[in-house]
Amino acid sequence: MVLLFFILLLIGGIAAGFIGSLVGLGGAIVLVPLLSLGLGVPLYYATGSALIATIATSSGAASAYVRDRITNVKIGMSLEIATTLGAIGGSLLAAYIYKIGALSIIFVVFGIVLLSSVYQSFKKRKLELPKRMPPDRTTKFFQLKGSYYDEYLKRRVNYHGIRWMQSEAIMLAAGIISGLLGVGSGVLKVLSMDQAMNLPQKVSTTTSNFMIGVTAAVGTAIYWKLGYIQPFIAGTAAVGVLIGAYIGSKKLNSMRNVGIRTLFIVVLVVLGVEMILRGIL
Amino acid sequence: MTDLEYIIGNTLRIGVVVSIIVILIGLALLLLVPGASRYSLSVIASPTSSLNSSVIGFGSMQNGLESLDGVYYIMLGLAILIATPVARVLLSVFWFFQKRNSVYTVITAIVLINMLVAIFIIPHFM
Repeated sequence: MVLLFFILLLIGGIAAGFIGSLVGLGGAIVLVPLLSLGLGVPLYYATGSALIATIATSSGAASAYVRDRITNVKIGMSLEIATTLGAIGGSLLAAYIYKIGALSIIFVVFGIVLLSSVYQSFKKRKLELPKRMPPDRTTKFFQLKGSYYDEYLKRRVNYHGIRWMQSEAIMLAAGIISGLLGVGSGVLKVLSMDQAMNLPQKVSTTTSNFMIGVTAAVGTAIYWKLGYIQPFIAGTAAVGVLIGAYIGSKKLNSMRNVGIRTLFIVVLVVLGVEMILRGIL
Repeated sequence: MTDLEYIIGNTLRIGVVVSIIVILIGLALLLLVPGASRYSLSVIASPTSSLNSSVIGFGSMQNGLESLDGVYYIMLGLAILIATPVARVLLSVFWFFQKRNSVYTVITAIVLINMLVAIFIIPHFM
């Protein structure tokens, strides 16, 4: 019985880490429903494990993406100001939101936001690389230029980020959502860099991957104290996630940007529905 | 080869490898050395286990590690995992400072302060 539980946790972790590392999120979208609905784990342990899994996906995949120079470290770090502040604010708000019973409303609103962003992503589904837009003042000040070698296109791709303020604002929302709900911040990070900053999909994915570990680490101390971290569940899932993230990080750069985007759109729809259901049920 | 990507990539890799090894030692101890843990396996590995991070204190960490209690090894591995992103932010502050990149020294310092506040101060108010 223990062995079966262990194996299922491990497999769930591998799936979460694999998908998370390809799309730029922590894998809560896979782990929370699997643990809570599939394995009968209470929601607080499932959320705590997902937060640990997020850190594992982030460090596991980012160690490869940063070394391969796909992640834009400066863009990631400059946006982490907002995600960490947002996560602190969100976690402080959580108790209050919970008390006035507004948590389900937030789940539903977040779900609707995700579903309504599907269209914008869908419009760009055939673009292998984003349309070039002129740099703005923030491009220069925050040093948002970069390049990476694309193994699918077999060439170096030069790009630059724009609309830093707008991106930072979405990151603040991503942080608050992360602190409040414990899930979903990776998706908003990818959207922020994809829609506002106009970065190539692989750069958005890998930079989000790089950032989510920091956002999640902000939330863990509180979860740790509240007792949401169960060693066997979180530990086993983390091992699986690290294996999955390692496999995913080997695969990403040889994939088409278009393929990664398609996967991301599927995740948007699934997570959007998942959030609305959690709010209603 | 001491560019920032190299430093960060290696920091993350070391953090991940060390934490996964410590967690695996913990899991192996639980399964292979029954009785070493003060909790029984049926309690530890239950989906609705009453054993969690609020029960296991850092104060008893050394004791737990010395008595080869797998639970403490897993918790230590998880703590290393959580500390890894903090370490990479800390190293980035030093790197940008050394490169005299004032914009990014300030940015990474703010991120570091936010993280330290969240980890060490906020939980006391909960």
